[in-house]
Amino acid sequence: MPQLKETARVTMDKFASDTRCHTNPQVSCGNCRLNSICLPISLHIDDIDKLDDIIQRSRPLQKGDYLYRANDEFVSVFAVRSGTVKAINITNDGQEQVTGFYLPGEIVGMDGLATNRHTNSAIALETTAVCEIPFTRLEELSIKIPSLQRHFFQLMSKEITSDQQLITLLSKNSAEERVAALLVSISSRNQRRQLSSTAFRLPMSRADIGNYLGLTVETVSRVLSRFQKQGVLTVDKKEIEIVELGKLQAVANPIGF
Amino acid sequence: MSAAFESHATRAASGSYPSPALLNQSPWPTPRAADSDRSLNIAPLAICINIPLQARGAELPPALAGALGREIASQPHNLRQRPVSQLMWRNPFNDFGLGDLTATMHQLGSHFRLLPGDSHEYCAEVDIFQTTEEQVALLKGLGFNQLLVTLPPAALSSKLDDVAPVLTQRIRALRDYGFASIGIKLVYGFHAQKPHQLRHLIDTIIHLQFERVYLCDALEDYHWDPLATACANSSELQDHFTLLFNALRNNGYRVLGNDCFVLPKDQLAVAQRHYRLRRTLLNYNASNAADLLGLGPGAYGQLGRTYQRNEPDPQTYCHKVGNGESPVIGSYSLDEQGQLLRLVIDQLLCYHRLDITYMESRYKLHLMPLLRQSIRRLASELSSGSHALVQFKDRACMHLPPIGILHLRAICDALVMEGLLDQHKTTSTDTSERYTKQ
Repeated sequence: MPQLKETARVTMDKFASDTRCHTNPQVSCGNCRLNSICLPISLHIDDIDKLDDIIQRSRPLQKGDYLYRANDEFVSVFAVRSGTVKAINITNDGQEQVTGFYLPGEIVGMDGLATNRHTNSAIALETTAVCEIPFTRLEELSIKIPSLQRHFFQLMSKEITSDQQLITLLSKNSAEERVAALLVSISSRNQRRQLSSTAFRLPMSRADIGNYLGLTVETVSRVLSRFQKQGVLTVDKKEIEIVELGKLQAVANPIGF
Repeated sequence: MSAAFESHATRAASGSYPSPALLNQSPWPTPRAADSDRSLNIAPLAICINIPLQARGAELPPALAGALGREIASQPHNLRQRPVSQLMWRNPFNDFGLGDLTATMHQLGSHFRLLPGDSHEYCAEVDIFQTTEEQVALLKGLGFNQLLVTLPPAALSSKLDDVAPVLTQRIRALRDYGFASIGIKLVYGFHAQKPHQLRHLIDTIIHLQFERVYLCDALEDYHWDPLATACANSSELQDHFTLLFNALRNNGYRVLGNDCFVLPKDQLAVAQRHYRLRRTLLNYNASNAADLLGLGPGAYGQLGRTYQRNEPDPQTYCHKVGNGESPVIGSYSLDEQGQLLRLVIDQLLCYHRLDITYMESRYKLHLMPLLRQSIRRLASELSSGSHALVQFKDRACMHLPPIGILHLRAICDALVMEGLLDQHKTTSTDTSERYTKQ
């Protein structure tokens, strides 16, 4: 009998844990594990429900599905609940340029804010669930909840900052510095989500990494092998383990501030 | 006048020169509507957002970002429709977070016609020792294409030797962000500054090829700082200024006024060569902005012939704006003579020359007597020949040689003083008889 009770408790815990899981499309903002890094972070517990009321959760996107396309009308921003999204831009000569990767808890779609049309397209890199936040309703809510507006602009500033840092990275830095900067970025973003900052699976392909960093696939692979030989990290296909995070950070930002 | 005048003979002549109070010799009266409130005007506009430096570490009110937003939103419609060709944000990170800055820029963009691309001059003034890489990236992403870096007073006074290595490293990192222009505000005149240290610093600045170098008087710019109380005496002040002036000129910089130095390729230098340089109380610009809207605590504005100033105390500023009141604490309109003097002085500051024939015919002036009298008076004060300070060419044009440019502040002061004295002498008769051909 005691054994049965224990089994029931474990099952109940598991159930409780599953209902809190951000991958569950039914989970509300108040229960979502990502609420400490997503929009609700700024909100009082009473206000989280107000935000929850405007959020739309639809079925997950499959790998390769578009979340929105360039030139679509800007209606909503999206919080990634699970999976990964890449943002791409089509250059003047018709080439695809990856402009960003969005991990769980991050907001995608703010590129449409300035002109009311999205300048990029967003594509799921794997099975991905998102929360859709209609922007007009978010603005209305921001007037009632100033802390939400503040947090939204903080997210926006982060987005602008990382865009500029990418442009700088691409214009000046060596292949090693570029790859190191991306790995350090994923590491610190994982840490914010309370995941391991030193062992993770790269959600994107080598081709996407190369495209994002302005390098060929071969160069990305060569740089990763070089880091492995130097003992900075170990690589097993998409699995990365950073052995010397300090060294990687130093490579990523050689003449920074 | 002579002792004070002599001590200020070689001083910086840009920034807020000439102040409306000097031109009108009167304290600022109560606020009144600015000129540009009255009529349709779509000329380019300059905006300066001022976050007071003296409040660093001394608790700016938390409501400042909100108050600034409300001041932006409360501006009249006829200002909002004008293209903002120049924007200066002083000390944006002094108590403002990245999100606050983004929100304020969003608000500014929602209420004013901010210009895209590089067709504008949007500059942020930041302390190079305090600013982080994220902050710089954000400024670039928000559309700022120029940076003006400052050095903290402590570094400029007692730790001048330590500045060069840090400055070199940081400016190299800043260059990666692709700003069209990076300038430096070099404050001189601290008592602890030794000439050899200043020479070393200016060598570093020249080596780093700052597009713009602004010389600022410690007493004028850092009067609120305890370090500035230990300012150099007037003789040291002149020596420091002359040393910096000569070093920059001899290393290829073009001078605007006598305290703004620009590389020949910089857009201000190009504008000067093409006679399309403009200036406001803020500084020079190449984007045809002649009016300045000041926002934030202590900001100055210059709209048409009207000058105005905001409440300088951040707490009071926030309180006023929060209550829906205007933060403007004083405004002044130049009279006709003040406007003409400003025109003449602007020409001298921008181009170091004055087309006397043009000015006389365009504005119906008798300029020559005023110029000769002012220069003669100044030459006697300085114990030098008036021909050394200025050169007249066929009574049609006045040029400033290098020594005249060095003494530009004194020349402008002399013009203002002579104009005022003359006005005073002739108030009982007819001023317009002497200065305007009716």
